[in-house]
Amino acid sequence: MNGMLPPILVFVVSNLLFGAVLAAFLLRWAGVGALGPVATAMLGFGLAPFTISWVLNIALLVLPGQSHAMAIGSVLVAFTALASAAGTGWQGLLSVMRSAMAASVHRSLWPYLFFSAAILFGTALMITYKPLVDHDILEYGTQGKRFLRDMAIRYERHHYDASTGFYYVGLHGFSFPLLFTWEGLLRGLMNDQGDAWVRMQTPWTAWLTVSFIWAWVRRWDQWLAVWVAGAFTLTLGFLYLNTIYHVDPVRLFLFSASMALFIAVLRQPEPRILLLWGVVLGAHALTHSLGMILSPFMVLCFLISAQGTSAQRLRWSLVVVGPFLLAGGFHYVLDMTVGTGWLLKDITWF
Amino acid sequence: MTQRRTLLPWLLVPIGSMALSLVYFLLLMPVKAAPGELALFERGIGSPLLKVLNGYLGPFFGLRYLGNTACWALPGLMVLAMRWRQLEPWLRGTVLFLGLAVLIIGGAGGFNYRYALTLLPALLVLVFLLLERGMAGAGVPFSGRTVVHVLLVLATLANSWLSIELSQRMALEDPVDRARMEDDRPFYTKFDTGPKNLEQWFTSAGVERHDRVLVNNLPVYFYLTDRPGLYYWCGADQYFGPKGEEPIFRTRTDDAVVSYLADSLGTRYIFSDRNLSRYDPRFERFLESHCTLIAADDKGHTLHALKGTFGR
Repeated sequence: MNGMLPPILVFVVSNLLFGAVLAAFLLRWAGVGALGPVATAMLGFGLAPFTISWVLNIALLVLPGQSHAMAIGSVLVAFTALASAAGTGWQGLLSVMRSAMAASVHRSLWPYLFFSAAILFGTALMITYKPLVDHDILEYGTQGKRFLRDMAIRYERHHYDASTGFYYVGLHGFSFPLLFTWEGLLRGLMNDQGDAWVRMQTPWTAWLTVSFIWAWVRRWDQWLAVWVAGAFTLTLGFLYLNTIYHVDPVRLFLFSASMALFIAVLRQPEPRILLLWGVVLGAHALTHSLGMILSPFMVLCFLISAQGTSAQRLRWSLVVVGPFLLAGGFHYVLDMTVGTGWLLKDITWF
Repeated sequence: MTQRRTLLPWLLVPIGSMALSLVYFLLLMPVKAAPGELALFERGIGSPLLKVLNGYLGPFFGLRYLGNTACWALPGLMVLAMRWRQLEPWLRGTVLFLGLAVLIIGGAGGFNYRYALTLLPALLVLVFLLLERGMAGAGVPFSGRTVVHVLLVLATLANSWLSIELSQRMALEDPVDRARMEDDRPFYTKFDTGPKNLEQWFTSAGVERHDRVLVNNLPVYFYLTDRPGLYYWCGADQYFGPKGEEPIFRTRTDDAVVSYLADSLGTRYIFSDRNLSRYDPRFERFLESHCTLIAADDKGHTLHALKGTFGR
């Protein structure tokens, strides 16, 4: 159990504590009208690892070669600022937790409780018996360790590490490799190393994805949420989503959240929700190229279909583009101009 | 009696899901790769029909991984598109985006279930919402609607069982996977498919710390060791070096490949696994004819040395 203590501590800080900070922040500043209180809080918990990787990405890009302490300090400063800005959102978060506990006695939530217990059991099996063995995540892990060694992010034609011969073929944003960097930084403080925390992200985010969808659909009909979650979680794809270490659950979570926010802004285009939608689209992009490909189309569909005059719709769409670029689109702008060329070069299908 | 009559047509939805699953798994999906078509077979697009079903329409019909409910989103989206003018703006935007997303994901890589999975939650919400509204509009009572929904979820479960059964049949036809299938150790002990003590494995095989190894698409080498390597993928004959990708085999004879690897790239060792090596029959033959197997583990990892390159 001692060996598991460091990654569990990293989980408590990075997913639970930082997640609570973002949940409280969103409950205060985004409100609950767009997604409902539980789904809004879930979004906060899901955005925490992305926010860590975003701060690291900017820090290692702007100040390459900095110390480990400075990188950790940057993340702590960012979350401290968010926690202070959350203000009354903390009470909102407590209230969400209380109401979720009270609602769990309803029969329509029993399958959810069973599902949560199954995920917990599966996670214990996975973390104990499955080391980091799947292909893509090993590439992310190797690149993340390289970031940790160099403490720098460079946009270059070829991500080739001359000292080992490793070539990072990934074309996506650096969000996922940077999670390995973060685990390395925090576990380094405990004179420890490993990847159990990153491995935990797979089942944790898969659970968050289902919880988010469940909470979101319950707003329409509490039983409909059960059927949707049942038809989703009983597929073989979902089983693999949990048992193959990959970026996919994170990608799926962020896409599902961006889809829910897309519908929210189509119904009621509030500026703060438009900003949040832009951030989530950017987060999806920084995680995976598919986010960068799908996001402009989602904004285009908003531009075509939203209510209001053409000028209004155009203005609202532009409101989304800023946070989208800042949160994740910047990676692809840099990668296409001074980096690998992204999709403008041949893609290798492994 | 009237209530039963209103329910019956809706029962065709879960029945249709099951019928589709049976046709898909028992008739359409092959269990063995055609010679030289391993990559297409693995992706489930080994025939023109499967290329459409699992590829271009993968987000709807990738039954192997996505279940048999999302397929109903295709007629659902078509019905909504036909009623375009009557739709509220938010539903128009949603239908438009989902249609575009299916085209993008299906066109670019629908065969990869992980990409198709992206849309699954949204498509399932659409299917269940349309069904619920449709049945409520037709006067089906709550209990009847629940029966249809539960049957759809159970059909998903049955579909997953058929999918696992297909995987087992495929594994039994596969010389590499068969041994793993027939191994009766508990399932959770099979999660670890990686090499054991990689560093020690290389050392005991006589590979020095400074020896450079050609690594066939096994990033675990770079993740777990600090040894120098050359990243290569035989499936596309791509070596990834400081100047990007270049072929090793395509432009050379086997003897020239040996010289190139030893003299230009400075390597005498090839680290691969049996599953990956067979993605290129020429690479696999090269390992047999021009290399010597110096180590192999029970998970299929192999370490070869180039013949005639030692003592140069």
